[in-house]
Amino acid sequence: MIKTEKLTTKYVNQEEEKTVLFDIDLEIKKGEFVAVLGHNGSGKSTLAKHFNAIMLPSSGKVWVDGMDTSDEKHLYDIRQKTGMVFQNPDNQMVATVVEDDVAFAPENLGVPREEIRKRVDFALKAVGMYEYRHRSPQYLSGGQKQRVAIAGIIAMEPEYIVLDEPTAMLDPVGREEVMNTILRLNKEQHLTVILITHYMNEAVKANRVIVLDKGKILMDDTPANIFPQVSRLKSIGLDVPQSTELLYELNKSGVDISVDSLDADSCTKTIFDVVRKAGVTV
Amino acid sequence: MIEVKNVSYVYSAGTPFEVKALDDVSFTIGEGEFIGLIGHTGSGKSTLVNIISGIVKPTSGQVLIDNIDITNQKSVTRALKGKIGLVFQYPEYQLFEETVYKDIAFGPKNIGVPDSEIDDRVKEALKTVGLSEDILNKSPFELSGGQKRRVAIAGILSMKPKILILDEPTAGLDPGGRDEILGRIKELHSDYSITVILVSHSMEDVAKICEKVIVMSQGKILKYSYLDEVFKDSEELRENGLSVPEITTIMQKLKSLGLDVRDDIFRIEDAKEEILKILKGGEDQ
Repeated sequence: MIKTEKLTTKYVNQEEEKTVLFDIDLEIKKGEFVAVLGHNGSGKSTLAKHFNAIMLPSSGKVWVDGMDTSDEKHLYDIRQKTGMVFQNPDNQMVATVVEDDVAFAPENLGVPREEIRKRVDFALKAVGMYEYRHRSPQYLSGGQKQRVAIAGIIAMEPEYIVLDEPTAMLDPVGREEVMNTILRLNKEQHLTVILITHYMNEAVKANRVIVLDKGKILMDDTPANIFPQVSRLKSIGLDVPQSTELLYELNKSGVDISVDSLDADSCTKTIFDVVRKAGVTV
Repeated sequence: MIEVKNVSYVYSAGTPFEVKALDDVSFTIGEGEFIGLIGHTGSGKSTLVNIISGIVKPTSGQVLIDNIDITNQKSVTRALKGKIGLVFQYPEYQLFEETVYKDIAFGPKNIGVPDSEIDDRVKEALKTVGLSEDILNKSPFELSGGQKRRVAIAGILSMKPKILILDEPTAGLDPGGRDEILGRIKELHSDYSITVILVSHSMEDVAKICEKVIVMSQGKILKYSYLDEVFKDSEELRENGLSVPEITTIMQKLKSLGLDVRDDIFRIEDAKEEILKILKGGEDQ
């Protein structure tokens, strides 16, 4: 479990002190898939960086599986427990061959050679990139590179994976590849996923959505309870999936229709049922 | 007007790594048009915009900007003189001056705009991107991500380009910041009737503001048409690494269930009207 208690973070530069996170109390249990939403500057990335001790609290505490992140002796264990994937795939490649790249972290952790081979093969299969293991990363697409970056984390055998806008630079198919990989790792490997994203249709796939606003937790609930609150989300610079928005607009125009669909399939069904009920012949 | 005639571009020619990034591409963009340029990673979008802006010379073929052949000029920069503004991906990484003011003034100074005019240009560009003058004396590095990006775009607008090319201007921005930038670009287009080419991976963004779309795949132009024409064929787009807006998918699914709805809708407002119309039809029966 990742737990924060009264987590507060301040950035200080010469002229001013800026508080980015205020008194955050949060528990993320093993196996959860949590999406973190919020506008730019709401504190999302700062929060995520506390989960593997890249950042330390100005006050308050963060524990990763009971280990206090501000206690230096836990640093290596925490870094091994929580892996991070960032936005730009090109900045995360360190080797000239895919499998060497994936082996980098376990090599650094001092994992024995035989074991590294096993882990690298397992990780590459888990993200569907095993066939590309002898290729050079520079000839991969963005989505493929991101999956290699995720494999590099899997090879560390972490409990938690934090992804900070992993699809922001990808094309639609690359985005889907990465999302499917994350979902599969969560379901099949029971990896705990914390996904920071600006894409609402990605957030709807999580079991839990946390909305940050001005450094505080504004909402913390299931996607089905969060996204129908269309006007509230829009008022803090966020958005809802187009499916939800369409139903919301129909509802506003006086159609008796529920606004709880989060994707195209369920939205289509909801509309179809209402249209049939209205007596339209198909 | 932009005329691209039989343009090809080959990377690493004559080596085993030879890649044909553009393969005999031809098209025309009229003055004042608003074009979306979409395509999977590696489809040739960036190479194409680099060639149109005169940064890269094509291996073969010709590009004419307002009848000036930019592929045949000794100095392309001089011939164009700020006529084309290209906003790269993540332009905020290119800010470099000590103050926001100096950064925005850099472009017009470089193309020889007289000093007396520069002050007005800086302020106008800043206003266009929706920032207030009190940030002019700040260091660009003190600003938030969204502000930095807007300053970077202002640095291009201050050159008063006739053609504005933006490579994924909303990548990494939150929905509010995204709508803000897209809205400003739309205003620029309608107020100054400049030609805009928007390179994007977001079908929703393209659906929101563009008039026509160029779809690229493997170095060729797959389609060049109005939005409804392009989004109608969702299968073909998917095969080429792209997608259609979620709203289009919903309408296409409704149609396949047997409802008499249009399947070429790509804006929420239009989808709402279409469904309201169908519901009304039910009441009348």
